[in-house]
Amino acid sequence: MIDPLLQELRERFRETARVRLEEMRALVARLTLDRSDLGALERLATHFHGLTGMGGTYGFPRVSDLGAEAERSISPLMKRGRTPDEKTIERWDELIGEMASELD
Amino acid sequence: MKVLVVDDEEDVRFVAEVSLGRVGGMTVVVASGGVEGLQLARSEHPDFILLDMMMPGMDGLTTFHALKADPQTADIPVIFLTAKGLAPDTEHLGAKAVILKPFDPMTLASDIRKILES
Repeated sequence: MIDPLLQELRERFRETARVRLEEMRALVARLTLDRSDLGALERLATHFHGLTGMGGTYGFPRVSDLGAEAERSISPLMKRGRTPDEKTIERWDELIGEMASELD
Repeated sequence: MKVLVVDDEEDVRFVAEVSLGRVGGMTVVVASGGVEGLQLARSEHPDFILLDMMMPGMDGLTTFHALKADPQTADIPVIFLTAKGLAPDTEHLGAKAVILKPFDPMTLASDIRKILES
């Protein structure tokens, strides 16, 4: 049985993460249209970082793992100011989908 | 015991308020960035500061150095909050410790008390 406080935290995270994932999908769509959209890339990186850090804390360790995978590919691009390739963007979209499934 | 939590992520501030406040019985003050954190550190005089490393604008390290350079806040213990793989050398910096995200919200307060007593 889950502690009521942890359950409350999980429910809250579900709500906030779903909103965040919707925005992330929109950012991926922007990057699909224009891979040089650094604003979208930076915002997406911030979202992945936030989910990596807090997924496990709120009882969703798999969300942290999936976010960490995305960070491993997005962080080097950010540091070097490079644009992602199509395959990488597709993988981020898949990871967002897997995160959403974890929240169901 | 009063803690100042400085983190740009709303999810972190919320869970810290629950973990340290409701579970740990501490008074929690929150700031969403380094500049606000510096102001609150001066006005609230917390017993310790939980400081995120990676923040837009004034990041955690810059905030930490500003805290240590100000006589009003220099003595406040700072515990960094950061993701795995980004932990700084706290001994070299003079910070009290590092807590890695994700953390256990049910034990955060007791973990911090142990750190502060050590």
